[in-house]
Amino acid sequence: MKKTDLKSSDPHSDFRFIGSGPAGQGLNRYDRLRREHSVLRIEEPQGSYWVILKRELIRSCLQDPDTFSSSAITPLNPDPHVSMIPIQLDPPEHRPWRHLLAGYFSPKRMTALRPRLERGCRELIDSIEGREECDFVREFATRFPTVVFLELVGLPASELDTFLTWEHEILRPGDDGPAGATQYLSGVAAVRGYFTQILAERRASGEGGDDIVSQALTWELDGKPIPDEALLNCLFLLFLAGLDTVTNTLAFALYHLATHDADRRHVAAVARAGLPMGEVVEELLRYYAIPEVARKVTRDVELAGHQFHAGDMVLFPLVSANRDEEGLEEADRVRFDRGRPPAHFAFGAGPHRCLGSHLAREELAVALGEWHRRLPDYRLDPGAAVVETWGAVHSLDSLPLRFTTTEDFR
Amino acid sequence: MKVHVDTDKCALHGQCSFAAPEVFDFDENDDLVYDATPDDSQRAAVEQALRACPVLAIEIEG
Repeated sequence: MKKTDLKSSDPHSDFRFIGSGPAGQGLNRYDRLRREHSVLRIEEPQGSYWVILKRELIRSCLQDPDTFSSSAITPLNPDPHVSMIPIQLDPPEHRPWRHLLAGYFSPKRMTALRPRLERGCRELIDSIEGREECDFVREFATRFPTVVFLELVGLPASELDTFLTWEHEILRPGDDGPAGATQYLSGVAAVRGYFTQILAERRASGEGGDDIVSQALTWELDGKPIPDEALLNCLFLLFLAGLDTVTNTLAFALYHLATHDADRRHVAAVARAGLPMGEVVEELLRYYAIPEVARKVTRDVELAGHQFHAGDMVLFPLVSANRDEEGLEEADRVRFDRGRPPAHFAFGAGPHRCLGSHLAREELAVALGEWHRRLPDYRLDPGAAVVETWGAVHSLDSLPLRFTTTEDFR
Repeated sequence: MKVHVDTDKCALHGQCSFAAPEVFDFDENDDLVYDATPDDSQRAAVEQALRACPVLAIEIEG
């Protein structure tokens, strides 16, 4: 599209926070917008909000919680009726919660988890190896990170399908809209009801492991036990945040590799040689950063020539920060030879930077390593139409892969 | 050079321990421990840690 076309009509009047389309469309849509704008004002039927597109603006806003509050974190829902802890707490209330939780997801503890992650991966690959095709999303990406996460939190992996159903009800937009939708409320009620029951059972039995739900009953803030309502709001967040983020990142990673042969061969070579997968993981996290977070403005403030008012909602698509050409050369494409590039924002920035980032990195490295060691030759099923759904997170509904022998590529 | 971490801000994100592993680490209780007077050879790494800290809790003097 030529620039003149953009100026002759409103280039973003059709922008919608929530939508779906061919794989890549949701993440890629910011590339064009960012070349024209640093800040956008979006008016859509369900609400109005700002979108910040530039890397340094996104960083500085997310690092300024006094001005950009986390009391509301999706742009179409400025007055949420559920307050998730600690993601919707601002400093200073936020910090003690973060300290409570940090130990469960610390770098040392996550490194120690590696053998468990490798075992989980190998079991799933055992069920796929030797076949001609698979749905990577359904058979691997939704299984691998979730089973391990449920163990950490202390929930039965046998209930995974039920948990995923609830999670989809909450996170996936329904036909009747994102906020106040029946399926959303039903999912929220189901999860909270479930955790209420689990807490009561653990308390009654007195049995406690080192899993997070059991430990939560012993947590204290300022020397006092934490009220159940607050514990529920914390467990609810862990449930939502832990079940789909690595799943979706893995889905986009394999989508990329299944459609970029040279990159796939590079990753397969790294895996075969047993070399660290860190550089590959970081570049895929950067390019396919799936979360879009929002904040609520607390006071009138000017940003990049725009007047923001208290109460305004502001959206930060993390992928737009990560692909900003002003932060990185050739930011618009995946390159596995960047050495030590500047930090990316796939895990956010500021006080709410992802609590689970160390777990996510470990899981992604193990998954990409194990998969490509055993299943290096695959491509997108030529008959597949891969659909991306977007909103607070970007996801792929399915990813049908066909396995090929190495000869097929020659 | 002198390094100071504002423990009222620090929320144990751990990014400093990746940027400057010789200066910042976590003990067995996952609490932050750091060398407050690192060798000048660590300057680039500590500056990287300062930029990486999500809550801007690290200060450098000298």
